[in-house]
Amino acid sequence: MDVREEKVAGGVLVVAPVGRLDSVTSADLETRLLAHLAAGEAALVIDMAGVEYISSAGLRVLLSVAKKLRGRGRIALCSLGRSVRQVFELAGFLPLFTIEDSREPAVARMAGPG
Amino acid sequence: MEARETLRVPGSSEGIRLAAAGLDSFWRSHGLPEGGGWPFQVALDEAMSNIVHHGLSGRAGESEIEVEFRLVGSDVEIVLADDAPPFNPLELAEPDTRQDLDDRPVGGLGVALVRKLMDVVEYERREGRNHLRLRRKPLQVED
Repeated sequence: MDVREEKVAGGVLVVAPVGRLDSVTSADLETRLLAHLAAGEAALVIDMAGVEYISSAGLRVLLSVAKKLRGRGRIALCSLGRSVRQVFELAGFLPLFTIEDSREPAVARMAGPG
Repeated sequence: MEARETLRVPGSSEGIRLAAAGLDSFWRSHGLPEGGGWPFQVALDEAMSNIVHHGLSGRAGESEIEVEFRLVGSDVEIVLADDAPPFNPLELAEPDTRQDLDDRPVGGLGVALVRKLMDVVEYERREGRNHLRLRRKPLQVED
């Protein structure tokens, strides 16, 4: 799958997957995110604007990355479309993540020291 | 309106991809509401990956999965059939979706999502094959 990445002010890495996050494509996203964690990235924003839909395989990747960041970094999600938001809701995932409506507030919350 | 399309795909990741593409094509060719297909795509992905990774585990790639898309009245139905050993995905344990992040096991969510997204989810072992039937109305997408 296509993934757009951008390092923005405040040391925040924005990762924007494009297309479907399903059992076929989620491994690509996981590989990239784990590589970023290994490289020491500790403030991530996952911009979901380009995600057509997400299945449990995609949810698992996000959950697993969030768990790995516990205690050493931060992650926020932003710009969830209707289908993505609904799957998050059905799966009980909304309370597990910092979620913003758009990219700017998500970056602002992840930026800065600590 | 009645219509059906059947495809046979390999029991592998490539098969999952082909089934998703088949659903896209079925959706378009029958003029179903644009943007209303995602619950079926999510359910199809969950069901296919369960068959490939659990039902066929160890012999993925040797087996084929029959994927049928049907229009039944105003509902869309997906029927998956495979010749793996008896495997009822509905018996996979459902996660507790109220647990917090640290307690949440990674995985086990797929079947819970399918149940919530579809109106009908039925498993049947018949003639030596597993049959899984998923059905609901297409989502009506306003605006």
